[in-house]
Amino acid sequence: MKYIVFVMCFLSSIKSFSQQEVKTVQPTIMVIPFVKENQDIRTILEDDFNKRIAISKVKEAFDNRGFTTKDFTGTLKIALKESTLGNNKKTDLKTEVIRLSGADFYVEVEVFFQKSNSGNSVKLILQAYDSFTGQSLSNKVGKSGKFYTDDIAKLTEKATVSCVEEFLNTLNLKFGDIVENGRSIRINIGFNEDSDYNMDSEITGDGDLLSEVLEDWLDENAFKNNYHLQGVSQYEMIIDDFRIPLKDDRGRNYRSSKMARKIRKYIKNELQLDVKTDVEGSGKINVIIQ
Amino acid sequence: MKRQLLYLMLFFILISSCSKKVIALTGEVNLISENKYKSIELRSVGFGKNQDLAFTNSEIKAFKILFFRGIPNSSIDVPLVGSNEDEMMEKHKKYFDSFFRSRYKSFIMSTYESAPSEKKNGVYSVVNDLNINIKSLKKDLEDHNIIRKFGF
Repeated sequence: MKYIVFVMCFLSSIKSFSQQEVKTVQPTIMVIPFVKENQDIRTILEDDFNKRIAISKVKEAFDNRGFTTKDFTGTLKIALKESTLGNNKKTDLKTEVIRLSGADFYVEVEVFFQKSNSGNSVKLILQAYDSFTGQSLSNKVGKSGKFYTDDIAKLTEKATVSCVEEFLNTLNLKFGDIVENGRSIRINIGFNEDSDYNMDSEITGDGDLLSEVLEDWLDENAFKNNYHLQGVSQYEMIIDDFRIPLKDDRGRNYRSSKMARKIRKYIKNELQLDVKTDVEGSGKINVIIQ
Repeated sequence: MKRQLLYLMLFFILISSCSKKVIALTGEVNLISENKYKSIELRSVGFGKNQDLAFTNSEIKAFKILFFRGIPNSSIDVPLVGSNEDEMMEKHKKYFDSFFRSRYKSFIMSTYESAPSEKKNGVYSVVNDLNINIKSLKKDLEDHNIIRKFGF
């Protein structure tokens, strides 16, 4: 009797383990203000209450969909602590903030205030980008309409609300495409300065060049054979859109680091070349052949 | 023999006349207003053998157009579920059977017959203004895995 109970407990524990649900890792998103070339991203929000309103409203829309966004101000503070950033790197700071946040996607919010005799109005542009490939995912323009009021904050709120739902709907359609056709990552393949190889090196006995062999590998390993080769030079190969699945064959989350491991093993074991890889965030793989 | 043939013909005529007539899905659903993406007011024209059936048809039609066609000039300008209604209804048969049986009524916040009903060639038509709780409807579709939640 004791054995039967033990076996039943064992079997039920196996069943519950096998049924363990794998939760899909959700993308991380950060909402940031639009920055012109000579504007300082550090003060842009502090100086403009209306931009803060617009950003809060966009974040609220994400919250309403059960989605938490990365905090821009918090990430900016971390970026400012980075000792390498000087006062003269105003525009680079935006890239640095996005990099430090680890956000997969970022949403840029631009606010225009127009004053006229026939009433004041606010126009707003929302743009969502992939942080690593730069692909544009959703774009919408919101308008408050003209009102005889000086309450710009209210007009900004009106302009945001007028387009944010359509903006999120389009973004979600693109997310659907990612679920279907894979996540886009960027792969840069280059060479160490002292390397004896380049893309034109003959690497197999059949006279195949390294670039050709790598292209064959991309053909075989891109999800649904879906990738875009931006360009190949003697010392570099850039794949600006390489699709990887969201889940592997066993239903586990598939990360770009797994793809980095795959390409490193191929170059090392099959092509017999020394290689190093590093993964930036979740969307960029740098491959350096030694 | 002739009499048997006559009975057979009469039988088929009787059967065909008793068969349920399916009212085609028409697109007579138009946007009246939308309240911050939380509720949507639609004007839907329904048809039926009597006023009650025409009224029910107008309600069901509003939801079917929302699900499978979308409403121009609203936040749902693309179909909420998908444009291939036969495939979608078959794929999520259990949900849609239950939904169109009676559950859809729980998403209707108010109805108003905006024009007197008409009878033409034995068919009644009604013009019905419906206020639908769109936020709750979307959540229901998400919770039942009919549409994807926001994200991956």
